Amino acid sequence: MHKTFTGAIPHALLFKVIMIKTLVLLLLILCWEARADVHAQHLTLSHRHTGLGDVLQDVREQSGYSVFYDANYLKMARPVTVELADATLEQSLAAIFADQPFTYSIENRVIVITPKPAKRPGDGSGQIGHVNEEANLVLAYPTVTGRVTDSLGRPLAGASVRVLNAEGKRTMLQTKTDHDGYFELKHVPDDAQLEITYIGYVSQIVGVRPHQGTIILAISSSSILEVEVNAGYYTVKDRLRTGNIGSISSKDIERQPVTNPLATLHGRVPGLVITQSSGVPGSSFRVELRGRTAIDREITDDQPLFVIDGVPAAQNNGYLNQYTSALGYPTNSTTATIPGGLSPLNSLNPQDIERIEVLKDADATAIYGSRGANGVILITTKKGSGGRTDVFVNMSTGWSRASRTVDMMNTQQYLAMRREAFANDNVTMTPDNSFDLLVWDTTRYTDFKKLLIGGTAHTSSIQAGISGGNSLTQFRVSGAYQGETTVFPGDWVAKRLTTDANIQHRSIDERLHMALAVNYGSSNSDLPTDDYASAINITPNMQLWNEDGELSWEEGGYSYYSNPLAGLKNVYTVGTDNLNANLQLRYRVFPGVDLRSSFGYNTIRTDEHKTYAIGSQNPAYEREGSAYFASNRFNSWIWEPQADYRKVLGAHDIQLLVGGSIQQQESYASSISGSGYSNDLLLNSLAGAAVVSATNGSSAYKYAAIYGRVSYNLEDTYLLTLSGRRDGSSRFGPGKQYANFGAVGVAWIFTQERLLQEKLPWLSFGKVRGSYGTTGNDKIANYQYLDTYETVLNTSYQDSMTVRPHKLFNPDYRWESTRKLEVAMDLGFFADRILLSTAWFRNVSSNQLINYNLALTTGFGSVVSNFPAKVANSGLEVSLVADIIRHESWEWTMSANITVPRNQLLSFPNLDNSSYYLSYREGHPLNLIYLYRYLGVDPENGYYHAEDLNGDGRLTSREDRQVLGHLDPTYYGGIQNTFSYKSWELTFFFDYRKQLGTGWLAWQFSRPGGLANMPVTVMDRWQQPGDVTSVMRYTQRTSDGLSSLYLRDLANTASGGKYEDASFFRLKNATIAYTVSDDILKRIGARSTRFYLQTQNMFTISGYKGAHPEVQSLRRLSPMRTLVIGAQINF
Amino acid sequence: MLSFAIGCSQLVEVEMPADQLITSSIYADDVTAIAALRGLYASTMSSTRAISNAGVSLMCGLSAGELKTVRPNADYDPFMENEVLPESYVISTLTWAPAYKTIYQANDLIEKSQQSHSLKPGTVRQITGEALLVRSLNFFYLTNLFGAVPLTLTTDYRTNTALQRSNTQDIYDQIERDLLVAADLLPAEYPSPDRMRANRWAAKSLLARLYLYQGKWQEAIGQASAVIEDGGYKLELTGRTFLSESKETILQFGAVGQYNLSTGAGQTFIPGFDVVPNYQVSSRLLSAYQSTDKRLQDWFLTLSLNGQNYSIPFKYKLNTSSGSRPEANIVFRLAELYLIRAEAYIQQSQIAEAVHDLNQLRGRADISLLDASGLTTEQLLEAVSLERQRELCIEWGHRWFDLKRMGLLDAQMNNIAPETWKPEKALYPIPSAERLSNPFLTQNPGYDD
Repeated sequence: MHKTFTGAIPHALLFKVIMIKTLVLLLLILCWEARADVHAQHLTLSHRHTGLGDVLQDVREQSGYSVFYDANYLKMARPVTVELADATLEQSLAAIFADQPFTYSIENRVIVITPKPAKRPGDGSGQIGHVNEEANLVLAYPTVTGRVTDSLGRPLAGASVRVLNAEGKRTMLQTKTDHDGYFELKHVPDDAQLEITYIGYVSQIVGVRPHQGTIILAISSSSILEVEVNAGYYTVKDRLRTGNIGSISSKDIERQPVTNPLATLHGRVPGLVITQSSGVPGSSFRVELRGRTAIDREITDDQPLFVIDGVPAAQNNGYLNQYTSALGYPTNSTTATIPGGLSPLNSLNPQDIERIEVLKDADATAIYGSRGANGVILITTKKGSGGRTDVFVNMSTGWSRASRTVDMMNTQQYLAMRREAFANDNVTMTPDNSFDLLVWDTTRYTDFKKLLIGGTAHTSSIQAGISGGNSLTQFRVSGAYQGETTVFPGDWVAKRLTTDANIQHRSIDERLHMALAVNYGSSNSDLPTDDYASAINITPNMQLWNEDGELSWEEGGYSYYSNPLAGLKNVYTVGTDNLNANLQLRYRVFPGVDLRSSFGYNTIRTDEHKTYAIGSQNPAYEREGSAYFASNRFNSWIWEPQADYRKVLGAHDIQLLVGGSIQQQESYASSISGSGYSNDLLLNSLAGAAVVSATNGSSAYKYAAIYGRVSYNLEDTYLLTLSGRRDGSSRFGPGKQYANFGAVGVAWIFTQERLLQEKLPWLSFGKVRGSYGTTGNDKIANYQYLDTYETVLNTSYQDSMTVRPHKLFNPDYRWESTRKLEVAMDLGFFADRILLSTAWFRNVSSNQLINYNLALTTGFGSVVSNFPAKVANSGLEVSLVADIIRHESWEWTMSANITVPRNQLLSFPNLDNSSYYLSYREGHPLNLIYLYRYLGVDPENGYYHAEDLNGDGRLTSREDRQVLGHLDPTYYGGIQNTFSYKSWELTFFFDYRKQLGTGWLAWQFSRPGGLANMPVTVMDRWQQPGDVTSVMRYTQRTSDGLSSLYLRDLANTASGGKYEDASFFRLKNATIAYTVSDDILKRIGARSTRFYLQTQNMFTISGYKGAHPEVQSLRRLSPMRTLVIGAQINF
Repeated sequence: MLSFAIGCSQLVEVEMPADQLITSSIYADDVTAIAALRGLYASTMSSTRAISNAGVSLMCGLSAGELKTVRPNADYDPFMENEVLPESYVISTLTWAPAYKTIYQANDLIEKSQQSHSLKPGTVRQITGEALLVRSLNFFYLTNLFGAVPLTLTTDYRTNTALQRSNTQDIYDQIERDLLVAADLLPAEYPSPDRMRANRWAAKSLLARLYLYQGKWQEAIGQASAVIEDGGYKLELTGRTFLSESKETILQFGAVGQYNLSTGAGQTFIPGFDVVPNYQVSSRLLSAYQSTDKRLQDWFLTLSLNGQNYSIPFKYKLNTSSGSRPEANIVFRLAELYLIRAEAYIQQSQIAEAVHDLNQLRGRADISLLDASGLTTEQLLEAVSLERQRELCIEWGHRWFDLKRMGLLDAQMNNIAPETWKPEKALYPIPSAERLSNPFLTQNPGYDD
């Protein structure tokens, strides 16, 4: 039964070795890692009746040597009294251990402490005193064995062990360590040396002994190439991966004073575009990885898969709310293509996140199959690292203001505009058409921008936690509170409590591993029912309060806008509870064969309550209160059994993995509304409503897959990964539920070649890699293949229930397929101090599943079907990390990335006769601007005009539309600089994007001169023939009889004039931190204290004339500009 | 592996959502099939200012000069100024889209109920008849508002998304066939006493109007007479005409759900107290009435605010929800049938009969009765036009369609807006968004893309 294994090492021997090695490991239960290099070799010790642990700590600090011992020994230890000055290590240890029931040995700068043989327990489970026994055993064989571990005693699997000849040159004799870190080499000459190398660790050369004991490798440097990357179902060294995985670590996450983890990703990962929907706390973020893949993104989700601690997020990056509020519309189908609503990731505390990985290409995402067709975003929470118990507290407080807004006209400017409009139109002013001029007080001025979105929001947060454990068990628990007010008038607040707990354990025999991660977040927000930014166009002389000091609804009998302050009485409350739990088990059946199981559960419950108070309504009408109560729940569970097998045959390292996924998601939603309330005090009670109605809904999704993965590694130089899978999804009709996909990834680390190492010593790392694969996508709504009728709330007729068709149905749609190709090169220069990574990708989607746009004459306007077109997303991603200065007290690191994407509609059969004939052009991006060419304001007559391409005197869509550009970013990325000097650290992170966006012209509330305030930029208007201006003549008319080349809404709907350059360069994050020196700390009992000042969105350089180039709307709150101060204390 | 594959189909089998039902199960049972039929009526009424819920009354009332906006109103000013743009939200979202959705629903009801093996034959007849009537009503309004429009007679989206426009005559022919079938299928009795679902007389009422619009006078007289003589309807006093229990009503659409129990017209035209209304009645319309006309008193309301008077439509008198439903949106009422028959009689030179019918309404309004002697056909046609204007004002677009149908539009508009009026504006533009989705859909003359 051990046939597969015995080929390498005789298994009888191996098992003995394993047993022995396990015993050795027991010694190394607690570790203090040696501090960097040079420390005095002469020690000065002064202790009286001090615990052995503290004395050894002193020795460790002075000598720089590591010390290993079983924590239990301390119970047996006697107090130490020692007085030594300038003694050697040997002398010191001799003195310390003189009276102890222990002895010690020094090996490789490690002091190992063992009980004296006489005290050793005599039973068979003997934990100690095995060294001689082991040596005897090993001496019986003419073979060298050993084990390689890290400083925590964790085995390093796959480390290279090479035999060097007497001259120190490499010989052909080599092997790799197995799963438990053991190696065996036969026929090793006595005068040889062993070179042990492992990526990410400092290599060691040791003299040959029959038994080498445990060789401990120290982590080499902070080079990101050595970081273990979470690739989903397995981890891989960044250096050895064949796929494309971008990542951001806690170091960069912690610096950012944001509440949503997605906000930390802006500009950080090549290929990833994050767009914030608004500045209201809790609002959602749109995530687009490697270009737009969905033809119809309003209905089909083309966002990546979000996996939190191994559990696919139950609501992915959708929205949680059912009601509209200041957070936005709970739908993806806004015309701005920005999903609104409450972000499900808002209940995850960024401070609990260890890493966020972004899996991009076919190889990296293959293991997630169709769920990962648009990429995968893996969020991993922080784990305990063992060792000393660490208690940490982090407190901060901060202030935010809306970051980029437009100035609106004041009353004088507004009135002048209105009067000019009437004069231009030659229309006489009457109270009915110009009550704002003739009836309302024209001396009144309210700066509505300042009133409605000009406040300062306050944020405060506190987080506390404990982490610790030992080499077998590690834990980390933390809890945090975060509170945030808004810039709106009124007492609005968003509060959040989060807890995160992680525990990991492995059995002494290393066969069983267990990891449990539990994350819980609870949030509660009181927010306005509308985004106040949408009301900044109110005429600046509108009366807010009447003479009696009450809310005003009209002046002189004329009401036009509802009083925005009335909205203060309407409250939208939303609470969420998000529980994410994952249990991972691994059992080593045989050496090299692991069985794994991952079980995850995610549930998100959202409760909403929205009230419309009587006091918020115009008393001119019959008033009644109404209240809305909604709750919904998203559940997701997943079970993923997996088996993997690893075989090392000399230089060949083969890993096999087979597994399955069974996933189920359910959602339930209900909404109850009450109306006819006669008293605002009853609005929280359903019983107080005159009329109550309710609705509910549910849906279920199931997914199942089997997959396999083979990876082959030859001498850490040639890497090959093959993966294949069969996916099943409940979103397809009978017979179409399953499909097969596969991927291949290859890499060649050419700097492993001896010749290159000699010729190009400055090139420390070089890898070319490529991947190709096919993947599917089932990210469409559930049940689309069914022909169904629905019940809809409040649609009874004749007081009886009604049903109606739910949608058009198409039973014939099937899996779409995307082919992904990537080639990339990763280079490291000067001992990896400069790392340059370049990737080129091309993804071609065909048979895309979309909600195919139809004419409204079909009754619905869309149907789910496979799209006949082919769409290619390609792009170049470059990232650079440089350690520019690495000095004892000075450090300067820089990282930068840029992505140049390209989206192209490759083919679309019969496009001109389809419903997309004016939306797309072959050879152009999907987000193309295919409209009339905007010619600005006609100097002759002062109206916007557009180019009549065929000169027939009319604008006709087929003949006169032109391709004017596209809305995809031309390029985007980020630049980070980190400086540190002694205890100070300074970080600047800029993100930038070159793009066209919806411009301010498109957000004019009406034509300039109408009954609405305008941005002051409107004052650059046409006044008389010959004027060359950017804004049309003022007019108060809502329609003007102009046609032909002059269209009413030309600027905002029909021409390219609605778009403008929305490129920006933004100081996304700046942080200054100071770590207090040790002396001061000791007095307060803290191990380290760090004070910091963080800013987010401090400034944005942009020529964009609207409010914010990211949100691109005058009527939504811009992202917050935030300043935070805080302190982190570790005890 | 094999056993896994066998279990696969179960791994991805899901339960139905709570708020949806498989269509075949809807049509397996008479009760749910009728619920689907009620869903058709609910759809026609589900949004204020959709065609069937005061939308036509408002749009066409503004276009025909019956109504004026009081304050700047970006959505509806273009209708008053006859400058409707193809991008108009009112045209696409409030008018075109709900009409075709209702038509789809009617087609689905017809197809599915006829395919069903378990519905009672009477149920199938009732569903088919009512669905044909609702479909016809929507096509009638679409073609009168837009001219040639796509004639969607199935639920097949492949066909419906790329249809060319059918000319008005073809649409009228289809409506005629459908209504003849519906009148045959539907019983004379109402399925429910509230008159909120169609019976035979509703089908015949629309048939009568259809024949009138086509100049098929004899057929118009035939259908109108059937309703007038056999339907059992009677004219109410003008103060009671628009109450939901009015005996004059042939078909009315009730409010949907528990909210918005008032009619779309009430919600649109009646402002809160002490607030300037959005729309007022034009002096042109008011001046059409004699001062003693009961309709002038009962169907209009004058509001005085800040020294200004605003006259508003007041046929429907409730603007907010309330627990009971004293008003519903009346689709067909007896008065129109008298007017149809009167006009057709004049065209057939049956003057006495025509005058008799006209006097039914004049008598009710308490104005002087007509004397048949000494009136020319032209004068009589003018009288019938005037009576239609007074009786059917701001109701279902009657005036706008009459102006077009009787060839009076250009004369009136050249009088009101001589500089800007163009005869092409008699038809509204095809919604631009719809033309983006259907490359075969042409625009009406006089409108840009």
